[in-house]
Amino acid sequence: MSRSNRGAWPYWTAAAVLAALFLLVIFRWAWFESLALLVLPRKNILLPRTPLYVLAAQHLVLVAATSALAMALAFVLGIAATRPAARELRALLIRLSSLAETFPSAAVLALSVPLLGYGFKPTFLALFLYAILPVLRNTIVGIEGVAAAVVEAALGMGFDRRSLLWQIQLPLALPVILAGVRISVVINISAATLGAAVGAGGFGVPIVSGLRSLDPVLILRGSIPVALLALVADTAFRAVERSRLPRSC
Amino acid sequence: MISVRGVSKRFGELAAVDRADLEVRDGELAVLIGPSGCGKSTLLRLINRLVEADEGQVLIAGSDTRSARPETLRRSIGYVIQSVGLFPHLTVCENIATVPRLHHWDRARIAARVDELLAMMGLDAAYRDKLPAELSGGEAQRVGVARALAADPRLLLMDEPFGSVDPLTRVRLQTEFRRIQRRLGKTVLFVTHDVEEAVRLADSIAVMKAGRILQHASPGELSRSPAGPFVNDFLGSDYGLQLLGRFRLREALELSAAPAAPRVAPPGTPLLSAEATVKDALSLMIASGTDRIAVRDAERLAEFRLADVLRVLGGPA
Repeated sequence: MSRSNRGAWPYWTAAAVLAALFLLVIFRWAWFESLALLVLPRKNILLPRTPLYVLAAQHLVLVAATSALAMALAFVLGIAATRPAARELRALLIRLSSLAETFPSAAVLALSVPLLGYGFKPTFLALFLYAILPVLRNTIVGIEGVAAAVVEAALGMGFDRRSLLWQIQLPLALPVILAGVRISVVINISAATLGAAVGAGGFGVPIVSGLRSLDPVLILRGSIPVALLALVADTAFRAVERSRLPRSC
Repeated sequence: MISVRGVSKRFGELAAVDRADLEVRDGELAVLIGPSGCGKSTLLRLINRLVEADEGQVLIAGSDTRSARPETLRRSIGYVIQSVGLFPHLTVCENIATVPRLHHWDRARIAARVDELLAMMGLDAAYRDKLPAELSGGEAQRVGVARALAADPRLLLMDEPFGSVDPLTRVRLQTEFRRIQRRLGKTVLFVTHDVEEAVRLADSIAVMKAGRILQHASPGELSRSPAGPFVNDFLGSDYGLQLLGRFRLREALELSAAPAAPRVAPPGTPLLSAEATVKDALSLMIASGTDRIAVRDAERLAEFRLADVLRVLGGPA
């Protein structure tokens, strides 16, 4: 319905423009590099470089896999925690998640390397754990935020617990849950650069070697695509949050 | 229609409802009234099993409410609450269609029913696609009532349904609702703490205190023989005046057995419409310092006197 989707279009447009810019940066980095070299010093010409589209693929796979798994788990846990019979689970999850938030992701990474070795695995674990929290918390808050009168009216009219959840509580909690998903994915995109430090690839690779060799252009080669990717994800999710399901009556 | 037999419900130490007995006849509008915390809402919720009774039995149309799943039971009973509880993400149409959908009616039948109910509630078709946030308080209450009536239940449970709108709108909603209820012949159990509202709507009033039903009687009988000092105090010293609010001047003129030739009021007498109540008439007499007023009916002008006021309460109140 155009009436209710009016608010989404600027965000879809912005997301498309940013995505185009992202692809341009990935496949035509040389253009941006020559622009950067007008003001920044040239170094490390001879270092072999992994093509950006390879780094992009690594980064996207890492983010997509960890985010998807984390969301699925957070969603299920969040729903379970809001069941009337699960007060203890809810208390436990809230306590765990506030504890986990005080832990920097770099620390999780550093701690998991001795357990899981270098490379993809420790990064995967750290990103996965980190991506759970915003979705979990927003799922709980979103479902609990549904007005008591609405739940009372639904039960009084003969909804059972399951249809109450799917037809009333989740649709009403959706904006809050989606905001959690957006925050989680954006954090994940930037946190995934840390994986390069333990050999997981991604856009962190040029950033790390650029920092080591004090090469600002190399740092930009990693940080510009990451920033653009985060912006694409952010605007695309904002567009989804502003979209409305079609009316059925 | 409803038969509550020795029902009790305790929350911890507190007996929210204490061995309550209540009979509501088919087509009757019964009001549960009492101070906050007297258990009237709990008693209402015991009937559709939003609260399960500790002891006792509730029969609806002769069958025990525990003989079906609570969801099935609730789908057969209309339910309206004070804060309305319209689903904010659904349009007016989708809100009204809630219970028909739970009953799996087909689209055409639902659409026709929604149109019918909107018309009945005096809302034009443009309201179909509005969201609850776009409605005024009174409109939202109307949609709430339409939603409760959607699947044509024989019984409606209403918990202070007009409690959150301004006084003028409330009176209008009460009058409209009473008319619709009479026309459709619905049985209604209505919770309120507002004596004036109870008197305006009720066929019978059940006064509750601390979980117990102290007296269940017609509004007139409550005033003639209250079951104790609490009932008397709760109804208030102006209960007689409230009772007068139940009678339209049109009905009062018939009761007062006006002479065959209409009594013609002298010019300058204060004037009221026949749709105003006897309470309005008395108030106008006091305000204008006269003992008689003129009542304008469709084609005639009649006189209504102070003495006629007393004759009204002698009638079947």
